[in-house]
Amino acid sequence: MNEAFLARVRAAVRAQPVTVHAVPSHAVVRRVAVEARGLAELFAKNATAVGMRVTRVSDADLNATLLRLLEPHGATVVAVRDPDLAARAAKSAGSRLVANDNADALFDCIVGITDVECAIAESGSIVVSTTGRIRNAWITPPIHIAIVRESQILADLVDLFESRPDALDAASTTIITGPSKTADIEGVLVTGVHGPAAVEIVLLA
Amino acid sequence: MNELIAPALPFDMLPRAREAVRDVKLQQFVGNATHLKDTQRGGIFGRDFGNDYDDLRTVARDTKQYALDHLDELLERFIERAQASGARVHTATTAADACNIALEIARHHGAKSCVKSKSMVTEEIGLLPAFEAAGIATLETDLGEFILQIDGDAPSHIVTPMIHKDRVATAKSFVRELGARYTEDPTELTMIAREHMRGVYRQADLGVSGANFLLADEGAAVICTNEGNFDLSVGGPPVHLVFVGIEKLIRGACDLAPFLKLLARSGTAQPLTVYTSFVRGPRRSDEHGGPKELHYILVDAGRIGVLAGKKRDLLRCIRCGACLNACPVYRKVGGHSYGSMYAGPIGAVLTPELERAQGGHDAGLANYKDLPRASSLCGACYEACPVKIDIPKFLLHDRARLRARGLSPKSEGATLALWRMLSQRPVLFRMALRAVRFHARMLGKADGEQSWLTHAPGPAGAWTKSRDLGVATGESFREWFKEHKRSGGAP
Repeated sequence: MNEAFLARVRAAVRAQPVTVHAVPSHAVVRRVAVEARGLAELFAKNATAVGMRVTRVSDADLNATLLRLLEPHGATVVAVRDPDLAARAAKSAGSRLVANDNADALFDCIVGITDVECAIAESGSIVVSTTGRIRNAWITPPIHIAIVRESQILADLVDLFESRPDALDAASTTIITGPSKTADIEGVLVTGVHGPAAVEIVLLA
Repeated sequence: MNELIAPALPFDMLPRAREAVRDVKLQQFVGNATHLKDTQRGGIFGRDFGNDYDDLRTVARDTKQYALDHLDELLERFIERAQASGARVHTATTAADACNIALEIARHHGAKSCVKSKSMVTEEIGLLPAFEAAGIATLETDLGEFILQIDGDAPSHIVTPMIHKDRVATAKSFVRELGARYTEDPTELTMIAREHMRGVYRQADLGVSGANFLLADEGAAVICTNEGNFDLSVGGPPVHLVFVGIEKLIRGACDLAPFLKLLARSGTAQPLTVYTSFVRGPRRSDEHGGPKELHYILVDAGRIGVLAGKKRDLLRCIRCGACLNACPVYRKVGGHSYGSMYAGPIGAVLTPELERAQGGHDAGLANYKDLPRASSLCGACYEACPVKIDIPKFLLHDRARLRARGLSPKSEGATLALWRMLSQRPVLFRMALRAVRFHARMLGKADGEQSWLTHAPGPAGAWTKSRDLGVATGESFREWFKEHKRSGGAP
């Protein structure tokens, strides 16, 4: 079945002359140098511009920051791949913590805490995947707290695809650039339509 | 199939266009929204790429064209690697094939309910009616598509499907269909929809989506949304079906960056869509959550024929909607006037071409003979296109074919013959022009400062059947120039 289909595509491709023999250089796409200094500043600025909140803290202040962010909220799922960060996040969540192996329970959570595979300075994005994290912990609860280390920040998308291809190895990977948004009703911007209305980034120096 | 986007053929555009132009509200919504999006698009490209914008478009054009010129290789690689990741890959030649493959999978799982992320190709193949007929309750989860679904309406824009509807219509349908309390507040309306859908996500047997790109190297799919409904639609149900046209293939992640940057900026003036999701197989044994089965349904439905024909370029389209926003005709007549899920300039060329490729010799243009003329040939669509599809060139090509096949109005040929004769005879030309201006002024109807000729006499009436002619007032350029030359004033 697939073979006959492929044969038809083959014939169709041959029916017209090839006009482009090699993929052109993508240099023009790149606006941020990989080795640029101040990627953390750039990331923080751009993540804020797309509607996420960035809190920059030292590693020692992580627990206090998480406690402050979690204080007014209820059930929390911790979907953190890094074992050290996972333990600290679970400790901060305390009695709010729910089990992180039941996807259906995510719908009853208020907060999802994740770490990230990496972050992208140019667009202010974070990258999460299902490797070591329960799927959709970053999208089902109305609040997403993402822990990002400065050393995880890449310059741009090209940098992601070239230097961190492993980030896309999981069954599901998502580049997140802002809280869930829609403007379907008369172009009025509404956040939190399906995914979280608030994305809190804790940026560790 | 919804008659608005799958009308009886041959399709007659004029009654719909006429109705749209008279609809004051539609003129307001569509006009304002498209104008705003078009302006914002220019702004973000200027800010982020400046003078390099055109080079970026050239790179994207050639990268996608390369993929089309090597689509057989890429398709083979994609199938092999997607299968290696644990996905099952199906190929569908016709729309009916695509639906039947899905129905078979649904039957196998005893599926009764489905949540669906936005996808143009599923509109094309009529998946929803097929599912409904088989008793599979399907929920559109994109907010705009959801509102259209509960209203029995159809999308009128590739990216902003309910651009023709307002909050009042939405409020009324939510009261009627969801039993919600009446509110016109967009935030409250959105939250009502959110709560309604959350209940459905948890129960659904099937998750359906389209894809914006297929990566051959990785055997993966890329899906861009702003709402996050894709991830919720396919993350919960045990089975995920991806419907995707074969033209979405590119080499791999190595070629993805230009398209992600162009798609979000061209469509909604964002640096990236909020969620750019990669699908790379079903749930792994060590993962929590996600579908146990992943099926790709690779759709032809005319694409292979387009690939083989003179309009291969059309398959470069990444469905950003920028040409719709830029088009002065789309802004006036709205999406439903095009009789297809693909409206606007790209739809005007793509719809007949897909129809031709499926229906055999020239059935396409004969069935959609108004579409090639639904353009002022101003070139705004080409300027807006991130992959540089020369839409005006194809529209002209279609007009020539209509004429060669005797499908143009007779008066069109006569007018052009008359024009050719006059343009070679300056004295006659000037006299004719003066006569036309005189008659137009006599017959024109004033509307404020401007006067319009709505019913031209004789054979010229064919032209004003679908347009009004703005009547020129004052002197002609020739007279004005002569006057200024005489008085020595600089123009």
